[in-house]
Amino acid sequence: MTVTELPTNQTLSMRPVGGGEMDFAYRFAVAVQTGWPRLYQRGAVQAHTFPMTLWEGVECLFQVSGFEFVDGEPVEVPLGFVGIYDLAQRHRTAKVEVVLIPDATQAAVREAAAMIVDYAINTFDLRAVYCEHIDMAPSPFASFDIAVEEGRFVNYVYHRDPDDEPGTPEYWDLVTKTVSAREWCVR
Amino acid sequence: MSVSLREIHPLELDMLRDIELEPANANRWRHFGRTPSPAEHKLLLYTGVLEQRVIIVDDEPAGLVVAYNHDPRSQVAWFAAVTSERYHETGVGVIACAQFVDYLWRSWPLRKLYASVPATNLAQFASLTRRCSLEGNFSGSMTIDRQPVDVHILGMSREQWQASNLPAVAARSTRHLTGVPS
Repeated sequence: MTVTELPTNQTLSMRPVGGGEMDFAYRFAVAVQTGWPRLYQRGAVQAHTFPMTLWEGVECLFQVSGFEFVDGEPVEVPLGFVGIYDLAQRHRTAKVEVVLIPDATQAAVREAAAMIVDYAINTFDLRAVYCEHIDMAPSPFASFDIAVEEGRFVNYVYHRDPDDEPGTPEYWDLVTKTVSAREWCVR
Repeated sequence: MSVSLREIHPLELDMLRDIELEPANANRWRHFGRTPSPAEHKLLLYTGVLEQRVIIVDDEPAGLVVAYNHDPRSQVAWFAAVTSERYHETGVGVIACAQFVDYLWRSWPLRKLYASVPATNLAQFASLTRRCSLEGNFSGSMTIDRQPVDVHILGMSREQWQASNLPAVAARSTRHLTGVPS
């Protein structure tokens, strides 16, 4: 997937997920598995319950798209999703998720993460946002030097590939990185 | 004083709501200052819950212990406890937690249990929490009485539990725990 920079310097766009994106969302969730920690922890993705599972505990969910130029015209290409969930208005915190296709560039991940963090902090007047990721993959907040690792749930997530030897379960840490609104706004 | 656990009886639901909404609990327990209607409370009581038991002290309902956020694939769950404020700092909460955690290890194929504990409550549960690993420290992530309060995430593996004296505490204190496999 090539992400092409538009003349406005904006490379990505996001729009609320609607019925038209459900097929892409479902195929995407099945494909990325552990790459979407919120859904992975809820068990196997099932077609008939998928819309409910997708929005369970979710405040906002956006599809992220990049652009490719075809015959000189920008054509939208879906790259994945960003969302806000587990919103605690009282404590002014929420979790955000950034789930892009494996081929997405680090710059695209950074931009998508920045878009959703900015949206979360400004729309809900949050004090901090959290992002969970499984330790075998880089955090969407990896390129934010203001992100602080505040949680590392050791051996939290079970994983076993179908071709692994029987009886050799693998457990991954579930890591939570935090961005504080104060730090975010200073930057 | 005897401490035991048993299933929730439908007639106890209003009493449990009253305990959850006592001033000392209302801002710290799951409703965080909200006062859900009795009907909503009944729905919320079981939302996301794996198992829960009423804490009984001398034959009177005194609180609630809850296992929630169960992830069967990863074999982890979270637990929490709330007691009526007249039992705060009496050890009832710790004994009830020990009984309940012992029950969970016996009843479910769990590897790890987690608890989310506001820093202000750590001392109250020190005899339990010092056997756990500190796996998260979320700075100021709760607001209680307009003050930011750190939240500690404590993890306990089955091995940590067995290596501690907590199974003995649970065994000594267990009298009427229903449904415990022998």
